[in-house]
Amino acid sequence: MNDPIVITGAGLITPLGTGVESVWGALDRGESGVRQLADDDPRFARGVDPDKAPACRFGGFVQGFLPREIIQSSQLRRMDWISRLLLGSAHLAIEHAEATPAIAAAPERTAIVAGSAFGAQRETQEYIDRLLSRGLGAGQPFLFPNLVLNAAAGWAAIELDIQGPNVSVSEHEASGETALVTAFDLLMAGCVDRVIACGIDEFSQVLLRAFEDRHLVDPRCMGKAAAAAGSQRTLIPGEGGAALVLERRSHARARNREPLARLTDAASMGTGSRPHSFTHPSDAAHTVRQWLGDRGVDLLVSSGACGAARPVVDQAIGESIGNPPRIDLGPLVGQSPSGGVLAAAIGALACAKGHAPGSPSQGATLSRVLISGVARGGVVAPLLLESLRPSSTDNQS
Amino acid sequence: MNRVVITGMGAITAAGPTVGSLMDALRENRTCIGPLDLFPTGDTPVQIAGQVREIPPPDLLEAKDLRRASRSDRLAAVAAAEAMREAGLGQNPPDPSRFGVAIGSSTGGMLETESYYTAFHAKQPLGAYRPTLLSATVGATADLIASMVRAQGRRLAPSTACSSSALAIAMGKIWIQSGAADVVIAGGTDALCRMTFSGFQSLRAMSPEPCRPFDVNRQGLSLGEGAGIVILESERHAEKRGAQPLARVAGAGMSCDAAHPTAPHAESRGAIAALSGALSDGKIRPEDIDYINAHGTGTPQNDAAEARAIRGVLGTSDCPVSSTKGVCGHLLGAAGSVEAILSVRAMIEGFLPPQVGLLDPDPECPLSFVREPRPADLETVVSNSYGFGGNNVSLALSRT
Repeated sequence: MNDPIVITGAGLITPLGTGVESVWGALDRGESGVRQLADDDPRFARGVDPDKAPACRFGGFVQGFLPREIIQSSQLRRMDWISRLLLGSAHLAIEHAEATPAIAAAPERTAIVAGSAFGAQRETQEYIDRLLSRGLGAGQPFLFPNLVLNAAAGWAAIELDIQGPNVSVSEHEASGETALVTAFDLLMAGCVDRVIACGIDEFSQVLLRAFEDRHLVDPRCMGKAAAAAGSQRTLIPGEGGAALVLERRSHARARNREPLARLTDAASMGTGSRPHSFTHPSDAAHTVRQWLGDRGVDLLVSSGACGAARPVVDQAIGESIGNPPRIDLGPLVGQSPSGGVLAAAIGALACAKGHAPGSPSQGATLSRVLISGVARGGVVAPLLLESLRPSSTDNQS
Repeated sequence: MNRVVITGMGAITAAGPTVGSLMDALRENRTCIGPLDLFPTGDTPVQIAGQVREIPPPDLLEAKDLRRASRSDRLAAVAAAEAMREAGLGQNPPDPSRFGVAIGSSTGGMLETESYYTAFHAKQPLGAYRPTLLSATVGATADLIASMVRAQGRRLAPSTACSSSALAIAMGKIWIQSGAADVVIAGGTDALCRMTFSGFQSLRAMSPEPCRPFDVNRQGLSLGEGAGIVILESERHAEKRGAQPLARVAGAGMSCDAAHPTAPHAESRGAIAALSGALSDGKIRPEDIDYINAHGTGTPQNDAAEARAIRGVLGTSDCPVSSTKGVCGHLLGAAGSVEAILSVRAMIEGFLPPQVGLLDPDPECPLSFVREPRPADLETVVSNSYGFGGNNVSLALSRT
């Protein structure tokens, strides 16, 4: 391709910190963002999180995100938590990509694509609780519009004045990767010049209870002692927002912006696994292997979402492609179904820096990174990133 | 670039479980909006909806999957089965790896999620709700349909409120044009649920009587439920297997108002961009449009904004326009695909679908409304869909 699609900026609001350098630094040092939420956590300060009662106090809670520092809007008070995560991460990504003037010059040529499995769960829970206790006439006009899955992307479009396609997608644990695939499709088709692709999810009491009901949740999330080794109770919920700016390389060059990486290929596709089950490891591995063809992979990054089933699938994918080094973000940030965008951001940064976090010895050999999007419903959504560094072995066309 | 044609269509609405039943209601200028009894509505001012009275067991769907399916899933499965039959794909299935699925929805399995919440709220055991909770997310329907029709190609579940299914068709078109798929089963589904029924009432956007979009005495929208599914195919692939195209997806335009979470832009900026984009994509001149199926929800703001957009792009009030939401209500995430389907069917059958319930057109909406069904030779039609978050999608459909 003469004018490849590249990633020019990232905005990260994660349990490892807020901002690209904070997150990379924490990963480089081998830290985990999974923690017990203390009583004096800034999260409980007025104006940070509009809902001050997280589902549990052990998990992957975002750190270092004070919405008012990033979002200068009188409408902030009307935005729920995931709308704040989306708008905050999109804002940071645009800033990182130095793309503000380019977007302002042609707002109709920029799209927002957001991936989220569940949308605004806590507000949905609050709303339905109210209906159940007070009847259908007790709906709240300011709350209801925030309950549709695309509400957060709508707020971002308003605040950032982005007038191109505004797409929200939901694909279970591959919601983030699917957002990036959709962004890739829109750019390939020439519908837009630039896409802000985001992944956002929070977790709620009801969802936590549903997972607990299926014996999937790490007992520490329920205020109990850690499970014994080998337990299937490994699901530690995570929340966060991650955004990437994608565009044609020619557009990045026009404003002298050096891309982080190239998004060479992306696809969300079926594997033939059953609709309500997590994708079978061999189905996932076979489909990803076929999709990759003869393209080699130097690093595999996984969002880690979907409890104990996920490492098994990632291992099968890894084995089918020659066992490259693997990063599983699940234990580091908790499991977020839209974590694929964060995984892609880590992959893109690894491409730009020439090494995986914590592995500087990989040096110039890091050329291709695979993001292994996998979800229930028999879906895989792999993404292939390539380094654009002069020393890498990719074909820099 | 591959041309994209429609070779099969299926719809289930309050009018019945087929496209034919919907077209019958339109030809008879009849509303199917009636009393709602899917869940208790209490003493709310609105007690009606376009409720689907009976969902037949969809063929092609395995019993195990049917047990886990949400109402929204089952609606989609019925429409998908009809579309597959019309396209003749049951006997002659496409290469699974080249067969994509794009099914949109605004609330997915929310009706079943509400039952789960009810049990949770009452501190009841949750185990009985496990099977349908697996279908709670918007993405579950696309997975189910993919399994049902044995599609292993591209997969997408867009959720852009009331433009979800139109956007699914637009994305399916992109896949086929780019060569990522040969065939795509696309559209949308939504079931009535307490959340939307209560929510739209809280916004004072719902009418206690069947909706009358563009009427000066309208009182708001009527909610409905249903699904609309189309089989999109590259023209070459359809030709190769001897399938008869029903219509061509000539153009698609997508935009965002970027102005307000629920209200349309004051100057209809996004609606104009979507309609212009669809025409530009299809290389269609405004004067070539023979009919516009308006989003026309029946709220004063939406109706006026859409009328401005149509006048702004077409530069004339001569083009026949109707909103068909008076027949089955506003199907939310399914509205775009169902309305695209009935527009294609009207093109094939040679008649203009009427605006059921329109008595006294609002002078703020100076358009040429179709008051009664009437014969017409339609070559190119447009279907508009708008949603919360300022989402706009316009689809241009033409005869092959």
